[in-house]
Amino acid sequence: MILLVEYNDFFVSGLAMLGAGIAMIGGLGSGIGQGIAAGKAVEAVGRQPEATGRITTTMLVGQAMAETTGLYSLIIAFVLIFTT
Amino acid sequence: MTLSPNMFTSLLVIILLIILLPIAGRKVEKMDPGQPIKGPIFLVIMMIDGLNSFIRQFYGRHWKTFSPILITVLLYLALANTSALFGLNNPLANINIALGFSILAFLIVQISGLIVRTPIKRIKDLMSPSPFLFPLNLISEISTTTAMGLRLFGNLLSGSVVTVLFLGLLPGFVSVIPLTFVAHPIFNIGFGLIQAFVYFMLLTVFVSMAIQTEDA
Repeated sequence: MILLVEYNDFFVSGLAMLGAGIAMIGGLGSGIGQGIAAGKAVEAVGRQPEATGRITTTMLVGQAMAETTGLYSLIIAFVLIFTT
Repeated sequence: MTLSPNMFTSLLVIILLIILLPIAGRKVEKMDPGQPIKGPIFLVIMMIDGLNSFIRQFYGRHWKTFSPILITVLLYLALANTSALFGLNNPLANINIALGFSILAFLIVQISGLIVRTPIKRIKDLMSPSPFLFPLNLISEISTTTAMGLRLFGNLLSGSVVTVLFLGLLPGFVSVIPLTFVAHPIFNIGFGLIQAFVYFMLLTVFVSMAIQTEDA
């Protein structure tokens, strides 16, 4: 059986949507990284409650850094959706 | 030629800062040292003092050179990222302005590095572990500053996309509830201010790494 595919605009945009969905798998890594950072921050607060403010600031900055890779995949997904 | 709405908000924020900051500075100059400080000017002094002491940890004796531009960038970003609360378009959700911030960070880091450390020492710094790593170090100088602008863009754009999603999916006034309790507090106030502070802090760290003086 031969599968006949018509290469038209709908095919291209469908594959672009699929690619956008696959690109967002990259959000997995940044999510895990942020979770690890938050868990370690909770441990640190439990061990040293008087340094809560500085630990929270450091955790937020580190999480915003870890978010970068997830944001790259988000930008790629947006490019795939809106330019095709 | 029409001005894009993001650019309009950006200009509005700039004009607001140009008008407000000299007034605050004039008030601080005219202040009587004997009297206690009162009112909103107290908050301004506290904030600038805290930021200055934060910058002083990184720069040592150079802190007075760099604190004005760093605090200006922080103030602009803090106002621009929360501008969606007033019904304006977010400036950083436009990729041109976000990449402009990348170029700004790149220029600040490189020019201050070249002036404070003289070009020969700067090239020596870039060849630091071994001369073979020189091209890789050059790429890292460019990619870190590009990532700073793209991080702002991604965060602010995702915030506006989620906000528009709430507005479009829910009928009529029902969308007010998620907007009030989810979209505005998290995406505009929370992420906006955190990203402004992160950009400020990364710029501080990168510039202090580029000028790395011996006594600092």
